[in-house]
Amino acid sequence: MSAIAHRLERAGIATVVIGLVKLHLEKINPPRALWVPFELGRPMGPPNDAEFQRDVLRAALSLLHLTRQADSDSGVLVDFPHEDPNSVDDPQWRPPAEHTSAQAFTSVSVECAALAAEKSAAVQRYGRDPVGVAGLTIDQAAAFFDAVCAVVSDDPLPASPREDLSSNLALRFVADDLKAYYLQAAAAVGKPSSRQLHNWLWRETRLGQSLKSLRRQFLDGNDDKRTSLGNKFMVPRAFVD
Amino acid sequence: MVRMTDLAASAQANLNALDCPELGAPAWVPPIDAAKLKVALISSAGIMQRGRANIAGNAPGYEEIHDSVDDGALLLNHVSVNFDRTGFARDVNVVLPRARLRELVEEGVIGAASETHYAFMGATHPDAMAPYVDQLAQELRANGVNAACLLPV
Repeated sequence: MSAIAHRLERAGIATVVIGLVKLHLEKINPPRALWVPFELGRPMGPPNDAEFQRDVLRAALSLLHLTRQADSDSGVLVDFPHEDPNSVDDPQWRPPAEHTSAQAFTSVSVECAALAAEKSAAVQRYGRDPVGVAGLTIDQAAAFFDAVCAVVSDDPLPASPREDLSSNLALRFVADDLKAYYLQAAAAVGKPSSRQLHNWLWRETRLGQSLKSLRRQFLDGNDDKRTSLGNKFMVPRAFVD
Repeated sequence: MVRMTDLAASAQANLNALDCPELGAPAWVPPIDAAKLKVALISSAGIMQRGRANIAGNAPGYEEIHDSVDDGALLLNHVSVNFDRTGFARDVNVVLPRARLRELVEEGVIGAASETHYAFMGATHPDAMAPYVDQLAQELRANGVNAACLLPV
């Protein structure tokens, strides 16, 4: 994005970047940048905290009023001084009821069904549903995922549930939707940090275990496309065993 | 995940190793009076609209998100799994702060918000994106937008 900022500025559009990786801002040197000490994926900080988000945006837009020193080769880089208040764990938060162990569920389909009430409550609470990139119902997505998990070694994946997508690509989108479904359900109550939500997903759920298991299977196989899928597009680096 | 030092070692190594282009001294648009600022938001989160085509992982172009599109229609279709999505899942403004921008117009911090905002797939090499950025600049100028706030994820 800093490279885009350079190009837009040359085209006469004033730019300011709200950046999460200070090293990249320093190296690429966009015209104006506000470094924010938030986690990747959250340039504006905490969800549902309008006052804090306005402070971030106000700080960024204020850089548009600065005058650069003559003969300066450097862009303007300012640090936002406040931490994300949602980066702290919510001590009152608990995972969805009944979800004490991944062993309680025989399949992701069954586990999804057990989360349906919390998922519905979360959608009502936040006024939005983050599930949908796969273009399937969650039952269809979970059924396809369970069928993939039943595949042995390099045997063919089940037919894609969408005619316009390969099975590999459908699997990537299905995995994204299942993760979104679970994480939204787990956020139905309280103010869990992303750390609490991800720790639960990757360590306590059948979905998390299955994704890690699929990753290992794909990496051990001889199908290059599946190897790439497993290596890059399924499990965050922080949760690779 | 907060600062680099808070990231897992593998994630730090990956970010440190990313090829950052050396672009030299940036151009500089002189300051614009607050009342005359019209600002567009540009995200790198690979935002798609529900029911529309998915975005390819190496897509060099951008999606347009008109103000009339409800937050409920917006989905994250980014190719990377290495950033948090639970913020966006609960509040689109974490990634694309359209409501916050409108509020700052009401406060008088800026003169106007663009009627359209934009999202790139942020996993593409800048060289491939260049013609689309030029196209975007033309569109921004045509719409009277003179400033952009870029929000990488």
